[in-house]
Amino acid sequence: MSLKFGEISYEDYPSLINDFTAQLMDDKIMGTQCSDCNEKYFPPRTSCENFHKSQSMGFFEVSREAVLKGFTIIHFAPDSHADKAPYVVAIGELADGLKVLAHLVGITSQPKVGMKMKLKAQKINDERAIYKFTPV
Amino acid sequence: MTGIPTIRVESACATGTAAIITAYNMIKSGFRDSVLVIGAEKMTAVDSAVATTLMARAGDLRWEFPFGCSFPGYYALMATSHMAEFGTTKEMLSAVGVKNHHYGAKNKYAHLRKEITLEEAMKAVQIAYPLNIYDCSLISDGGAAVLLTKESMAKKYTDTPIYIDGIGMGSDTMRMSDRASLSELKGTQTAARSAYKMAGIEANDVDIAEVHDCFTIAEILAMEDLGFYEKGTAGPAVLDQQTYIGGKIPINVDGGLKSKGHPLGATGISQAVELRKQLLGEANDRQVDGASVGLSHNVGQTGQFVNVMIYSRGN
Repeated sequence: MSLKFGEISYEDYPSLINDFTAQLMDDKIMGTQCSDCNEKYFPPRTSCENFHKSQSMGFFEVSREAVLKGFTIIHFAPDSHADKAPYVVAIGELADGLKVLAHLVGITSQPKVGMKMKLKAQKINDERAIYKFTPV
Repeated sequence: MTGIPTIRVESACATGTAAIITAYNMIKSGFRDSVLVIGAEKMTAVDSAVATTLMARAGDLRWEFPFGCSFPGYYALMATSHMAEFGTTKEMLSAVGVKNHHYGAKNKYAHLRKEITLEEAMKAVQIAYPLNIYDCSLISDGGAAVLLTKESMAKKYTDTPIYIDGIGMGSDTMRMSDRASLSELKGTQTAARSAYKMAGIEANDVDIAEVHDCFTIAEILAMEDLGFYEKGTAGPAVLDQQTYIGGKIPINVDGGLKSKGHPLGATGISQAVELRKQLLGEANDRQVDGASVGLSHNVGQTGQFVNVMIYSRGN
């Protein structure tokens, strides 16, 4: 069985996603880092934007501390998420400068840009896992 | 037209200007003398939920779509970022919609010809906070066409040709989370710079602009990224009615995507059609007096494709 990211998917995933999701199920949120120039990427990718011959990338664990940069509350959702609306989609900047788009859950009042959040891994079922933000 | 060579061009919502640029280059290279550029879209064949789902796929399908971020949602992320950074308010967003409906009501080719009040615009049903239904462009059927030809042949077709003085193109990351800033469209800045350079003008030489107001926040971003306003000052300028006819820079006085409608592939060409009317003084009660330089700004997806065109009556 190959592991998949998120609640829905529209394509056959490459092995990178399987490896990423396997670690996500183990509560590890991994980005990839170029072995040549140390450039970090999240979500993970298989090759560096800076064009090296070796194409060598390795996993590293990303910071869980995040700051909210922008958010929206989706009321009119795509079909795939219609039964979940309203929900908050947020972009957070991690302590290491990488940005992540994910749901922000567990909030009791309107989110505020600049608020501190935590990035958490969540197993959905035996095949799927996702990450999400929660307020600190 | 069977038998005439054809080509299909696609750049999401920037398809219309992409087609004009394609035709321009076919003519400039000497490959063709004249090209008829036609944009058409029929979007009402599916309901809004299906259209929303299809358009949401314009984003990152692998890492961002799984969170159910709709297309309005992506622009809403930019809106909350802009609001936090510059103090832009919901009232300023809504004022864009009020203006565009004001002019759309006067445009017999507009899809939704009705005025709205600021109060109605502020209280409408939520789509993707802070954007409500009066912040979102329409799902429209529509079409537009322009005939492009060589300068030496133009007078054969019309006594009053319009000239393409400048073209600029820009792009940005597909994934929203890859962007350094959420409160600007880098592609618009790049495209505007090269279009102004090619036309030999500056932002303040533009008399009238058609900008890609797929959402109200998009018009505010465009006002800044095209160089009409400093970053963070477009919102107050909208409230001050500086983008109405008679203001500093009249914008979308045909109703824009918000009221005229947004049949995706036709939009960029419809902007050219409107600017032609304005530059020839044929826009009746929507006429910008003495308009001689017009700018068209057309954005595909969330800024992955941006085209800026400068049109004039020539010398």
